[in-house]
Amino acid sequence: MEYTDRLIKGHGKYVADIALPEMLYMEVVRSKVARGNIVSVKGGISASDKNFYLGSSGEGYGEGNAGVKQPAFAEKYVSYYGQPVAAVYSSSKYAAKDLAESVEIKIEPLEPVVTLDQALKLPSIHPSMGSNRASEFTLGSEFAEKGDISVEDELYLERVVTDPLETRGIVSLYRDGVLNVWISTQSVYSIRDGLSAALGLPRDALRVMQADTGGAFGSKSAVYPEYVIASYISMKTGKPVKWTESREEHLMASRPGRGALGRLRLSATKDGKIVGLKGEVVVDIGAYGDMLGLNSPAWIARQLTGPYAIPNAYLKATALYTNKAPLGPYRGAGRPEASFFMERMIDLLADKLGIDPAELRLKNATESTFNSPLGLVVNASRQFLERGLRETGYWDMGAGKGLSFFVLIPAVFGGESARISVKDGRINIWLGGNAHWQRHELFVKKIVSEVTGVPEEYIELNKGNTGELGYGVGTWGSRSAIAAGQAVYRAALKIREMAEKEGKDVLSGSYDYSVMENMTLDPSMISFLLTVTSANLNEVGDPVIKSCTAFYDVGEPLSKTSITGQITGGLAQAVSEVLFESQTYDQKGKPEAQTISEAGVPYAHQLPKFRVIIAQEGKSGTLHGAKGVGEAGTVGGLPSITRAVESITGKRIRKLPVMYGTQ
Amino acid sequence: MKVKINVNGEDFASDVEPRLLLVDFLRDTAGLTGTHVGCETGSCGSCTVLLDGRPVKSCLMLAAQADGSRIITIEGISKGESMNRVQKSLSESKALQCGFCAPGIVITASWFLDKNENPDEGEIREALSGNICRCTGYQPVVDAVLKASKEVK
Ligand code: FES
Ligand code: FES
Repeated sequence: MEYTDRLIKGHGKYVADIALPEMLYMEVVRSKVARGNIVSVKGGISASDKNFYLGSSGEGYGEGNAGVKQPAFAEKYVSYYGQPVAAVYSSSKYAAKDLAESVEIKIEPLEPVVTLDQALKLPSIHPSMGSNRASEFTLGSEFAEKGDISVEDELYLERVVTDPLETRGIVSLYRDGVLNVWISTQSVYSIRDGLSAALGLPRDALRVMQADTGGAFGSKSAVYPEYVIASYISMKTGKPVKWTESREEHLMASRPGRGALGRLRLSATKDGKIVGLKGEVVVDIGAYGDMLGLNSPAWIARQLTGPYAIPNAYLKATALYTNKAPLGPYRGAGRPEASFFMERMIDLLADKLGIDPAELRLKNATESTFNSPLGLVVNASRQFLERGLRETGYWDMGAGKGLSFFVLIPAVFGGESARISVKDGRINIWLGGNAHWQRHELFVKKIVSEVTGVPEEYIELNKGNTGELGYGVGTWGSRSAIAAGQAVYRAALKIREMAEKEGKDVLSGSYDYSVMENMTLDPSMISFLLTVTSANLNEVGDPVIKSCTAFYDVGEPLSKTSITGQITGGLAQAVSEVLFESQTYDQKGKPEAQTISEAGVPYAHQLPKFRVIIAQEGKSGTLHGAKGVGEAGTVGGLPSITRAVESITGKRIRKLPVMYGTQ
Repeated sequence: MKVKINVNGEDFASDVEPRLLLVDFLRDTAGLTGTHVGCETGSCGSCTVLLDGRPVKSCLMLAAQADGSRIITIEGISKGESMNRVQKSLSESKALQCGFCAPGIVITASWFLDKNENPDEGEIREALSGNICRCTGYQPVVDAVLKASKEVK
């Protein structure tokens, strides 16, 4: 059976659908101010009863965790609107909500740090820190500017909440010394390791099982306070505890992405050869920084030269604390920021020089492998660009067109694991990067079938489960096809070899093999993305996107259905992010979008027809030759759609979204 | 208060709190978890069911308001078949990703196709204007519904 048939018939098992005997429902009581000192909390469980501190896990995980660790319950002071202060539970969902209403929290409000300017000027939001500068980097080296002209600009991307259609949720059950967790997630390992660190439980005392996961886009990789609190309540009561995030909570207190500023300056010769890039990248990481947040400005800066041969570059990169929900990854996580910043600058330069934006890009595209001064190594990109401009029909397009050309760098760091088990005439697969139904099963089954010769109907891809595969990374950063694909390929080769040794047909034997595949990024894994958009104006003069064509390099295409769906999904998010999607904060730091429509999540009638041309520019140096794809649509889409809108309105765009509050 | 609601041909009678939402009645009382909650504000369509033959958002209604009515949820939409034409088309085209939107989209699109013989792509997009799908960018879903419209009922 097609795996989504279950979902199409309404037989999915998402975490909200799980019902266990004696289950308790948890509700979280949250701060209604962005910053303040806690005077008293009456009712529920709060920091004065027990507290836990969140480490770094999930996307962007690395060694160490500078700065201030986020407490599960706000302690002494609150630092963002929606921060958990207390929790209650009851055997009925409605009674738990009543209990939450009855908790009395007194907070003495303080003036919040909301904007980046305030973050630089005002004292730190955390008394233990000297300033709001959470991290600072320099990339490249200082150089004397040459060339004939220069352009500079300040660009900003507003915060965006990920808004998967299924919100976050967890069921925790502590029994017989084991904490069982069912969760909607991008990585059962990140949840296990994060909970283990926060609760002080050994890893093997946790079993994390992925429920059907209704989308994620970045927000379901990290451990959140609510997961720790629900698990703690189960440890205390011995009963299963369920927490389901409301959309309102998701909008105020899950981890949104973007919130990035670029101040850039390009210098170039008269005929359009870019000779220098200078400036700075500043990221608003909200109230707490894990490794992803702290490294985000450097990660954006490092990619800036993209597919272009820019010989000199010098960038400063800074992460700032503000009184907002902690920053997380949103589809692309730094990549769309880099492509938006750079492509906006190239368009500006093209306008200033009076050169067609495509010509200017052709002039600067790399012609051989290029080591950028910022530490990025990219292969030759010019031929791909030439081909794409022809195949998308760019040259023949009329007014209101926009073009972007950038790179997609997959997050292969850490590698990935896979397990294949052959038993009773069937093959079962588990991936370290557990699919959250982005259609990984299409390419996974294909790989295993091709390697082992077993028809796909005998092969099953299972959900993430730390009990079935004990180690792994996760699914994010356009890494699944490359890293998980490679791991599953390796495991399949091994299974085939085991069967050959016994002189057996694979399905008639019984084999089990797990592998952890290490990977390091090489330029063959980086894809080129050419996106072409056309826009016009509606009756009231607002821009409307007419069409959007992606010409994306995917290496060896593993599953065209899966690739196309990933790209159209990303492009849709790019259209709304350009036009109207965002989370904004008022002067007091209160999130302004409180419903999914206020946030600007788009509907079918607001989006254009998308055309996807699956291009291939060589293969990656992996076993299967595929490249990444998951984030291609937002990386390629943002600058191209922005340019189309700029072309049709004639107004330079520095900031997204273009239309606030018009959704 | 006592309510009796017929869901997919079966009567569910229960003593409920007056504030109980219809969607919670369906999910928790009737145990039919195919009807999803995505937004609680009537914006996403995940909770769409047919009430006396018309699509409604069950997160915006009280169970009490549905007393005595006949409801069809995703679990009952295919009328005894394994799948109706919209479901088959979504299945064959592999249009969906996470599938969380599927129940609401299947209900809405099935109702729409029953009323509209030969819709074009624009009309299908309008018909789905109360349903959010966050994963697919809609293109594969719209294509699948268009294809279903060409199948005989
Ligand atoms: S949950 Fe009812 S419309 Fe979204
Ligand atoms: S497939 Fe995920 S919301 Fe539609």
